[in-house]
Amino acid sequence: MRNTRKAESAQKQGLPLLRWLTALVCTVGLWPSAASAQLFQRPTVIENARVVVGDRVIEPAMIILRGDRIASVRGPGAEAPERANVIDAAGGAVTPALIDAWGGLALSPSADGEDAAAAMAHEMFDPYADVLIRDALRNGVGTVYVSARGAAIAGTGSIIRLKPRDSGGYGEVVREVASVCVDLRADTPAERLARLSGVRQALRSALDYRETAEVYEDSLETYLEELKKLKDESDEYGDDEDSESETAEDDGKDEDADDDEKKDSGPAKPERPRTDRNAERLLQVHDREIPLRIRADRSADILNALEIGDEFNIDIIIEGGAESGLVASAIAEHEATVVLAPQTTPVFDRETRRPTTPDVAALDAAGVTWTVGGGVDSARASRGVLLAAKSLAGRSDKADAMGLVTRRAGEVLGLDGAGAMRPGAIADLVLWSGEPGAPGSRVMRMWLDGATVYER
Amino acid sequence: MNVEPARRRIAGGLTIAASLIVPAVCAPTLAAAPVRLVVADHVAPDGTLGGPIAIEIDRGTIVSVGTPDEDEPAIAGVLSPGIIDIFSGVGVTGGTRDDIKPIADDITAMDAIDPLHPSFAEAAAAGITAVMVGPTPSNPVSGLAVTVSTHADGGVLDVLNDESAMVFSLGPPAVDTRYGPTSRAGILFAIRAAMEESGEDSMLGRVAEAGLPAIVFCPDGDDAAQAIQMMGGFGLSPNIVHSRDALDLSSDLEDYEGTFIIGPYTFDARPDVLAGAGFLDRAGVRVVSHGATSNQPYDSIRMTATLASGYGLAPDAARRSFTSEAAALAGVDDLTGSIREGFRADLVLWSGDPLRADVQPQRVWVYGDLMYQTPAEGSAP
Repeated sequence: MRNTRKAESAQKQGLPLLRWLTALVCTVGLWPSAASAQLFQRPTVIENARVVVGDRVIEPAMIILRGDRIASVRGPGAEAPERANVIDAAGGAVTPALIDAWGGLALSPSADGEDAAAAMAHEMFDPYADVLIRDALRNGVGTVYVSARGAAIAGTGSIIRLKPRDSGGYGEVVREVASVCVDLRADTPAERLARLSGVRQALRSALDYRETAEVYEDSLETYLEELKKLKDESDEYGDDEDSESETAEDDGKDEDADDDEKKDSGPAKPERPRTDRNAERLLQVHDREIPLRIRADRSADILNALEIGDEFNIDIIIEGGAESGLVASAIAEHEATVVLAPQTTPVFDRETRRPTTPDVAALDAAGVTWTVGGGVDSARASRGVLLAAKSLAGRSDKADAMGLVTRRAGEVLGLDGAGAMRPGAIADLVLWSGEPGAPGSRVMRMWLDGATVYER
Repeated sequence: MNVEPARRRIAGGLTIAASLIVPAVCAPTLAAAPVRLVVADHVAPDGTLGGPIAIEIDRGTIVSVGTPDEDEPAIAGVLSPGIIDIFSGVGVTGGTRDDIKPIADDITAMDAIDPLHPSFAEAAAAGITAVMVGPTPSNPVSGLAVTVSTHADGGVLDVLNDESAMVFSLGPPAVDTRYGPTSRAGILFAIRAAMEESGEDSMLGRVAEAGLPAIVFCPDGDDAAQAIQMMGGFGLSPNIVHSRDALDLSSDLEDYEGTFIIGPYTFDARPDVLAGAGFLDRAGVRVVSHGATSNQPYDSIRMTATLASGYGLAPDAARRSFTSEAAALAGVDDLTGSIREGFRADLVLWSGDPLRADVQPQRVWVYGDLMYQTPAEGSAP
């Protein structure tokens, strides 16, 4: 016995390292994978950078990335952690990756089609459009909201990050269902009214669909109760046909199973309404899970869009908004958001016949929340979001171009915390050779989820 | 240098006397008396940002250019020559397209310009101080392009060059399936024959003798190559309007001495198209930014240069592309397009580098007259 104890003791003393390693392996095994990845990955350090955090400029700044997050942003004199992968920014700016709040990047052309709220925009995204996607990356764009198009109710907008896929190509769908896309533009007044009427009708039909479904549920419940009552009555009279009641209950769940005999003898089975994916998607708009994004450039169309928002108590985002400045106070009153676009398809002023430039000073004065996107009419225009933002911000004393296409765009898309430069935020970053978007300044490197996705 | 003879004013609806009123109603003005203007930065003739500048202007002309005195207060911003809008739609009434004959060298775009057109003032407010208006390239020889300033208030045209260039076209609009020519080869044959047969006194004859520049619209890269080869037979280097295949063409332009007019560049252009201007510049070809302002915003000229700069065109070349190089193309580079002594005071005070997308004009002078200032700006000096 003593010998045995000695042997155990020797074993214990002789294998502390093995026990420690076993414990470590078990701990790491149980650790959440992301956390363990952060623990063991070499941190990335971007030093000698220029960073704007809120209203504060930090220069030279050091940004430390661990895993897919920004671990810290430090000021002058900070020292890099050991074993860090250090990148010298050479005085260049580091900003959040740009977010295109309204784009058509790499979308295949879509023909005019039927109204279909449930058609998914991300299914039109070409992950192998390398030239277009890399061009967006080299301009600092990391996330794109892609919009459906081609009909009055064109489909469901989605949000895609331009990350390389393990299987090849680019694109990680971060939100399949981000909005329902509506286009109120038309060539003639009659067509414009028809589109507006169609959208209203579709929204009403969605409510009718819900009501019909609710009626069906109630009727089904009543039907099942009556069947049960019938069965109980049969049992009382000694009719021992248990299987009948089970079948009847199944009938309630499965409308395909039919039994004329039972129908004749029992209560009428309610008819289940056909599933309507388009109506179900519009019900998400009614429930304010997602906004209705309405393409409207003319002031009259914008006012119509706001009316729809009021009528159905839903969230409205105006896309395009060439004449939004004319109705800025109405937009503010209805608390709608505007996503402007570079004039890749110019909207002409009726009187001057000149392309219209959105009056962002009026939007700011009225307190409207606005941002800018690349515009859905082009598969390439996402590249221009920062220049477009600068061009518009230059017309307003309040607007900050970089903020418009990072934080503001993230807010408009409902991406919590996106476009932020703070510890704990997702490490979607761009290193510029100079001031972002200034002449001669280039994107030198870009990270998404802390991994380099573009390098000049 | 006296610029007054070249500044020919043509009465258009009002009398010549009305032109004398124009400077007076455009107060405050630099033309009223000699004025010293000191600005924190400026676009030098080579297109670089040259730092602080002090200029003196008298009767619409820059009479001295120098550096400010020590502690001399300077206006914030960047002073640049005014933008020159090439193939502009400014001032045009009724269009400039005409299909009456394939060789239309006696048509002049001057006849399509309305001196009372409100677009002159709108263009000036965007920093455009001169416009070259050309005929729509709908005929193999489409006609004469002319250059006027945007100082047309009062119905008086301020003509800078009434013979800027002869415009040619190799594109589909020049094809006439009924009367010919029906192909590019036919167009080239027609142009060559017309130039060979034209007399020295005719407009086309002057082109052939290198007395009048040629500008050729070339929708395809092939068109540009053929135009350069055909005109080369006359010892000419034609100026080319072409963007799409500029990158490919740039490697084959060793002896070429003309100018490429590129644009309008937009956010949805292909990356290799946007890179074309930079490749041309590095190949030693002069580049002018075209904004298609007849249906695009006036800012599209600057945006073309900005996008070109973002895709490899050197910033100094990009700034020259809408100032001095555009002036040279329009044949007015001895009058305007640079901040130099003896040149017209066609100037823009920008809130920053005009290549930046977030910069706006603060004040615009045309021939010394203040044509525009932002509401936030104080009184001009």
